[in-house]
Amino acid sequence: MNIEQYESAWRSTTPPPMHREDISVLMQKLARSARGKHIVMSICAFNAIAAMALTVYVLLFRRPVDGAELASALLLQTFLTVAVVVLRRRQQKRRDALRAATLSVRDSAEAAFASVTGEMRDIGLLFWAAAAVLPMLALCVWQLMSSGKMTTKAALSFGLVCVVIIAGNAAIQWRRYHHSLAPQRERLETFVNAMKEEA
Amino acid sequence: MNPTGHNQTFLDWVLTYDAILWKIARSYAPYGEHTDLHQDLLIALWHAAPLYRDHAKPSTFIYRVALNCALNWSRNRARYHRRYVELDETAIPVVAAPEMQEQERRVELLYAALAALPEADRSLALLHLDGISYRDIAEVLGITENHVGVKLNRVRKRLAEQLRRMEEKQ
Repeated sequence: MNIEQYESAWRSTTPPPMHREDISVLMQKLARSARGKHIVMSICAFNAIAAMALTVYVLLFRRPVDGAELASALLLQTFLTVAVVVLRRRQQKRRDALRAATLSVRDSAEAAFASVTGEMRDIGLLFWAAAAVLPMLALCVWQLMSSGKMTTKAALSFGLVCVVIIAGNAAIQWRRYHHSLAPQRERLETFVNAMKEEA
Repeated sequence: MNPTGHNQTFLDWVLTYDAILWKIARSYAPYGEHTDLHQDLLIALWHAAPLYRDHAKPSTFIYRVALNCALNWSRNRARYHRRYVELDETAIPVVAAPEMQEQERRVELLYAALAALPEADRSLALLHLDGISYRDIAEVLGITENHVGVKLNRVRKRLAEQLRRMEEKQ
């Protein structure tokens, strides 16, 4: 049997179309879900920005910062700034992914490759950021202890919790890098090369 | 595109081109997961609809969105279910049962043969099987028309060889 017979069988077979009612139900669900996501993102962004503004206001106008609280205030601002940046980047990534879906298969694969490479680079940056936060945390604890606002026992517990959180996060990111992103990047690279391969 | 226009475009597309989505879902998802991928393709199309511009053919736009979504789905599936791939892949080349109608049997064998092709070649074969012109295939895949012709020649030979082996097994 030759390939043309298979091709003609393929072209003469059409799967049944969806019912109009089913499509309408799906559209309603999608519209609801999109609205829900938008509301949640707006609430998160609003909360993070409001908390940042409130902290700055309290520290500058209501209760000026004394030396003992400077590190804590800086740390809080850092975390809030990171939260806002992460939210903004997530939104941007979603928009980019949507745009990439309408590109040609080759361009879309190249965009996905760039995105995965970017994610891998971000994980590297995350390790450096964690390393930068550690001295800040230590300074914060030292200032609180020296001003009598934290006992040695509490400082030790806090230190232990921090080590567990940072080590746990590092392990998750390491696993993601090597077991998820690296193989995906390799697969995308093979695909892009296969598309590029000129006759 | 306003929400009413968005919904109307999506509705028209699904009523007219749902067969494209089903065929892509069947070609990229392993046995038992076609419906999941079909659902994902519909969702991707709904999200992409506002980005459609009239200068492109709706079918070309739909092929682009659906193939990109199917390829991402397939990559993510490999990422999260790598341990189960071997088991699932034994389920892909299920050969059509002899009591099936001849046309149906041929189509089933074709799906099994498509599943054995590399992802990039599968997209090309799929577009060709659906009777898409070289020009549109080139536009959907982002390669030159000349490249489409040469690659297609190679892919059709591989597909024919795969089908011949399957026929022999039956």
